[in-house]
Amino acid sequence: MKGTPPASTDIDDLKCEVADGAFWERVQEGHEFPLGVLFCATERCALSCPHCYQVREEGAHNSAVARSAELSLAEIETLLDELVALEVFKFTITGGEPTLRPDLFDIVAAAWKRRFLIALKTSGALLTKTDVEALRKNGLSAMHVSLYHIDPKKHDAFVGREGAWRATMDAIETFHALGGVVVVGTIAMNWNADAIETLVALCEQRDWSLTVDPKVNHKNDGDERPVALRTAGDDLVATIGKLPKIKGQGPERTPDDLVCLAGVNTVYIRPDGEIWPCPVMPLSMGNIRDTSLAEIWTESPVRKRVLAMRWGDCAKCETCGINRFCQRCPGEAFQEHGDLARESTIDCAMAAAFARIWAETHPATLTPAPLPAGEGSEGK
Amino acid sequence: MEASDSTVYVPGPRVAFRKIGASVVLVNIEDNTMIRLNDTGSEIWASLDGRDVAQIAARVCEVFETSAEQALADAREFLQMLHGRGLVEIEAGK
Repeated sequence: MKGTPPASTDIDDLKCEVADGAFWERVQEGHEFPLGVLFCATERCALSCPHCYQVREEGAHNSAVARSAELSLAEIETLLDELVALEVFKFTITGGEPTLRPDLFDIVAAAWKRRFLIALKTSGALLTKTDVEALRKNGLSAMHVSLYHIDPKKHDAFVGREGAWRATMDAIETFHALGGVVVVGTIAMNWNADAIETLVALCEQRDWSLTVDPKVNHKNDGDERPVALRTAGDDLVATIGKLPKIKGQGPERTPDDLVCLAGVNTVYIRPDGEIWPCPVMPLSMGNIRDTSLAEIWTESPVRKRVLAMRWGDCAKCETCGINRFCQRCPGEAFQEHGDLARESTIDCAMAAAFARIWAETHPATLTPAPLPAGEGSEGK
Repeated sequence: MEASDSTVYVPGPRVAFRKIGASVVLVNIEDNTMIRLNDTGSEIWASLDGRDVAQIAARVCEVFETSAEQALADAREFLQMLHGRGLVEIEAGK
């Protein structure tokens, strides 16, 4: 093997590149398999958040994987070995509520033994200080925690568990004090939109990252009950206006553009080993209990179908005057219409809101066409 | 501990790392520093398997066709830089 000779011993020339905003994109470039996977350790949950896209009803289509069907620690270790071989670096553990698994500490330790960059998505509601310390010691790098309101009573009422807010805040504060990366995640809904500004201020003050998503999806079996929680029309515009980062006008769409990155840079591993392109696209690409992940990735007809999705598949989206503001989600379209190649109500509403904010803040560079009728007032 | 050419470095205990393509990516999870090594740096990292600085330099010399002096100077400086950033540590008892 012959590589590039070392040019000099200048440390600035370094034999290395320090990260900036586009670091992971550059690392991903030319790499066939995603750098990160999302592993759902369990779909069981201790909370009952009404906006959740996962299905809990027993026997329902895409219902939660039973505890007895979950991958064992030994199977997870086999999976981790394959992920190392595929040069996967980021291992994100999610749920359900992953802390319901008694072997969560062992899973984190097994991932750290293989030196993954490990993140945990949790409500934080079941974690004690000792748990958080043990997770950090075992190699947990980042904790993504859901927080829906600054008012403990409102948060607890929404998630259906008294004391959840206090436990969540304690977990966040403990992990942050231990030097871990904290990412607070919230969904801006019609009942908590008033709390967004306070949450933004709190996270800024405490140096926690914050992600706010105004998008509430259908459930993964098409159940539309969560939709009733969406913010709409002027309220959606006002809510988006409070976010720290607001999506601007993207590049012009062409019919050959990829619709989303499902099956490109995301892999979702369900608790029973089933592989989906993303958490809200419940299409099985295969199961790692039967087939290697590498083979699923290269051979799955479902993945090929997902990879073939293009912006031009949806005539309405292709010709839409505000599609440069749109983050069209085929998974949500699938839940709403049973068709990956359709628009979805929430994506249309959000694109309309982004376009309106853009028009108000960039009058000189305005390019969007008039908003499609009704899309600025979805849900009204 | 003073480093010498017989020093054996090992990956730091709080460093996540992965070889991705021809490069190695490192993240110090204590301060979230992220670094991607180029092919020379990646070769040196891959040699942190019990080899000392002189042996690593010999490997660099072999792979990259550089002079022995240049390879040794590069290996020393690079490993000291990684050590300063907490990305490697000196193996206990070495």
